[in-house]
Amino acid sequence: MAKPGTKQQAQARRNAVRTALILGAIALAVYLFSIFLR
Amino acid sequence: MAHAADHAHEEHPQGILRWITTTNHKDIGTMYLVFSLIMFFIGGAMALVIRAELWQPGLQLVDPHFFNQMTTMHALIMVFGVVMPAFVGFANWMIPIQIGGPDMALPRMNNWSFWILPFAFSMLISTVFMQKLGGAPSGGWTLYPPLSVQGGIGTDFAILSIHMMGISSVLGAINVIATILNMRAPGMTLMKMPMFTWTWLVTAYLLLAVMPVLAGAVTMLLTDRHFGTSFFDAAGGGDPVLFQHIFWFFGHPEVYILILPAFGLASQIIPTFARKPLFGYGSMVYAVASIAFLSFIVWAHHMFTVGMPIAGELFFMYATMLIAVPTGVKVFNWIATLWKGSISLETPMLFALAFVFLFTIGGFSGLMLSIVPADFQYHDTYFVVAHFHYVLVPGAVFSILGGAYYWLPKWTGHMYDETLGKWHFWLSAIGVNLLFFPMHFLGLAGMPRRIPDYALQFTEFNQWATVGAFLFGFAQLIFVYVVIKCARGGKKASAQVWEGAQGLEWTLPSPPPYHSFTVAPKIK
Repeated sequence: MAKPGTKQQAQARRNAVRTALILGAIALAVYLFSIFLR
Repeated sequence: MAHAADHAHEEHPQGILRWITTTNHKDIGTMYLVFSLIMFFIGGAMALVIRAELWQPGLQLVDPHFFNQMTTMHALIMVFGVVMPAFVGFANWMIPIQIGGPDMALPRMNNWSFWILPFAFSMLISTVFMQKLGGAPSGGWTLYPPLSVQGGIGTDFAILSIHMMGISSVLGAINVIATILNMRAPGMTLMKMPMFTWTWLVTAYLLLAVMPVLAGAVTMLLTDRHFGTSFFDAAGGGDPVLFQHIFWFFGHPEVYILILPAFGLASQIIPTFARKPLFGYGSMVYAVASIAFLSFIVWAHHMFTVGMPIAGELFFMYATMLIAVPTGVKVFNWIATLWKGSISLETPMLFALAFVFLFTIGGFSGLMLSIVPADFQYHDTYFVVAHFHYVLVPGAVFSILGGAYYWLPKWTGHMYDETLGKWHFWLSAIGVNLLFFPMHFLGLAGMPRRIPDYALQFTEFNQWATVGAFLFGFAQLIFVYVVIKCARGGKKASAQVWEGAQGLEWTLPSPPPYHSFTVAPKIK
């Protein structure tokens, strides 16, 4: 983790949000898949 | 200037607002742990109702419908309200510190993940007080249809609260993965991470993969109950066995969600008190990953008796047996860590050693259950109850207690009362074996699970179990006293706390500052 207030830290935060969005999309896809694959 | 900035960083609301609005990983970790402890006593009280009713044959304390509500609620609370939140509490407290980060990656989401839980569980537990409307769900924690489709309003409450718990778990898992992948200090490569963080990374992927499946299953239950679908209703062309497949596709990885962080805790505690590095770190990481992979392809061993093609039964039997290999690697590695170590037996180590020994008993009875023809005999008997309680109580719960003693001095800045800790351990260890070991014999002799009454010949073993249950329950009151006493004061703990402890958490003072590593530590 980069120092607070630096460009690297802002980048790390953006990366974390991107990771979370991708994982959230996967979770939603698994949920819908488990219902509609009947 | 730097000092003023640090000071501003430390400012946060006080009193109740601190806890409601906090985005601090330590505060949220503490809330998870306290929540889990409260739920432990609620779920435990339900277990004591069950054990009191089973003190002797015949019906004495509660009617059978209420007994079934107790078995169902006890399980739901212990799985989703105790073991999972306790591990999330440990994760919140320790992962950012162990990887050298300042906090979790998504702190506001972290607050939300926690605060969903009290509402979910209030709603679930409120059903116990709705006896005139059918009471709490009573079809077992597995919520099998057709019982769960026919159940009263309590089942709807359970369905909504399980959705909420699922959202909480998935958000928590996303946060753990995002934190570990993005917030590690420079030099903290994946293969340098402490085992607890590793087991949580794998657990978080498991949660992400299977909690939505459980949510899907209970959504379908809801639509079957109220919106005219027939996913699981044979009369409308559905299939109740389909629910079992979906449920256990979630349910078996869930078992590992409940035990992998326990492996992580044991892998932290044992090297510390053996004063040796963990034996076979790399193999431990690969073993955890292998167990996680295998957990996805063994689900139908929970339902051998529903009638499957023989090839299916064989596949699930052999796949299940295969899990013994990576699990064995872990057990042998813990033993090899102890080998020629300079061992001391403080309370965390006692719990960790008991964990290794007693969890292995649960593992072996699991192997027995994996054998298809034997399972036909054991299925739905007390043997199964003995098996999974060995895995979950002296397994998961002992690791949680051991982990709590291990890090309490770090969290509070005070040493706990070692004498009382040892009393807590020994009473728990004796109580838990008295409680669950006789259940193996009850099961082998044919006593079915989930019944409030039983045949006369089962009385003695049941009475032993009931005595053990009350002893174990009493012992946990000692734990509460120790924790409160430790939080309020006591001998000051040093930063290192334990002589043999390794890892970044021991480089911070006890208790650590409000924000752990605002400047990334140097990793050797």
